Amino acid sequence: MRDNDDFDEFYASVFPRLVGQVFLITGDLHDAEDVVQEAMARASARWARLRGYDVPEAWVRRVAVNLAADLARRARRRMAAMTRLASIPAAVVELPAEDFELVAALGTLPLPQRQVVVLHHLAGMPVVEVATVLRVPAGTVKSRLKRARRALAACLGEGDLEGATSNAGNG
Amino acid sequence: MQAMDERHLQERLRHAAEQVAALATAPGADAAVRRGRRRNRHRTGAALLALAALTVGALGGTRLATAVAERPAATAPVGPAAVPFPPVPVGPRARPLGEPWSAVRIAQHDRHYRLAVYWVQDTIGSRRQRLCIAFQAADLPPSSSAGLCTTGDPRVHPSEDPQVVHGRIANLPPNASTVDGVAGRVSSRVARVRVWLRRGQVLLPPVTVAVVDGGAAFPGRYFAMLAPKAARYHALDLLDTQGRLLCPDSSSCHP
Repeated sequence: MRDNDDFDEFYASVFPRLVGQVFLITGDLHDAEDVVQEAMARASARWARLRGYDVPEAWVRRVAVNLAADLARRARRRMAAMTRLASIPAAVVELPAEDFELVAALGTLPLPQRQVVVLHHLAGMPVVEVATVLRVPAGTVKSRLKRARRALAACLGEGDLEGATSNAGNG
Repeated sequence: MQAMDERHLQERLRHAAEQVAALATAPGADAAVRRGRRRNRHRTGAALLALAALTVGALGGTRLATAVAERPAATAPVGPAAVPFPPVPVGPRARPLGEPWSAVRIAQHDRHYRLAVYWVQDTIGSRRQRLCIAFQAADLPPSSSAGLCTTGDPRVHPSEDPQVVHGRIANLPPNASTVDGVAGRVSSRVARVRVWLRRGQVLLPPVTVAVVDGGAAFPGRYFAMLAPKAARYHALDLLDTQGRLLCPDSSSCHP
């Protein structure tokens, strides 16, 4: 039996879920897949240690989110150069209209706001934990969440999103 | 009301994430493990290279290799390379499909090159795929690798027609800033490929190139060669195992 058999199971159960989460940050399916695969590759190299963690997925998510941020920064620089030559349409991902609307609304947010929305509201991480992952103060996370919800509410025509804050998430 | 609103946002996020997760293509745990190992090797290699560079610098510097020979030689596949192939830039927002960098070795210009064939998903506006070929001289550092890809809208799974990529490769060997690479994928009936090159208006003697199997990672058969300086790709002849021309009109097969 291979030493990594449980890594295979871990990979199979976690990969799609993390791609879904990271996609909402990157807005590009291929980038999300690549970022999660890279995070998984790093996890595999440390699996002997990670397998002992309570939630190894949290480690992979943190790496993937940071990689996605790096990718976004590089892409922004690249796009700045490329747009001088031609406009580049985004990758096409077929989604139901309601989801597409949400993804489009998320796409209007700055990267730090997308990160906190996904980590807090989708991954269910408390504010303090989000702050640890992103290496910013908890207050910054809260203010980013507030601004993000306000912007999303405006985009989606759902003013009631603005006040939504998880009591559990404020810890 | 507040909790309900939050649930609504969470539900929409979760629904969208699940839709995307269903579309996700997982390269597989094995691929992740290999990628992790390769990454570790590259890190080790980079450290060794840095050490070597420091050593060479301390000794006063040494030229790494000689210029490319003028006369091309037929490629000679010598089996799968054990050394992992380094990533080659494939352009913005393009990504290799599957597990790339499987490599075979070819001998040409009196040195060995490693050749990797891979497909990339061109995410610029469509799901178009491109065939890419990458070369690296076996005795040179990974940074000297170079690649070229099909342009336009090539067939993804050619059955009979050759799919050829050719173009100028920069920075491949030292002292030869650009050379032309010719490479492509051919059907299983093809055993050898005769490549016609021209220099200006002059047609050069053809070069016969062996066809190699891409292995499990790249189902298919491929050929590749490096052209001499200033020579450009002109046409191909496809030959079977008996050396017979496979093109029905007995003329060169133009891609």
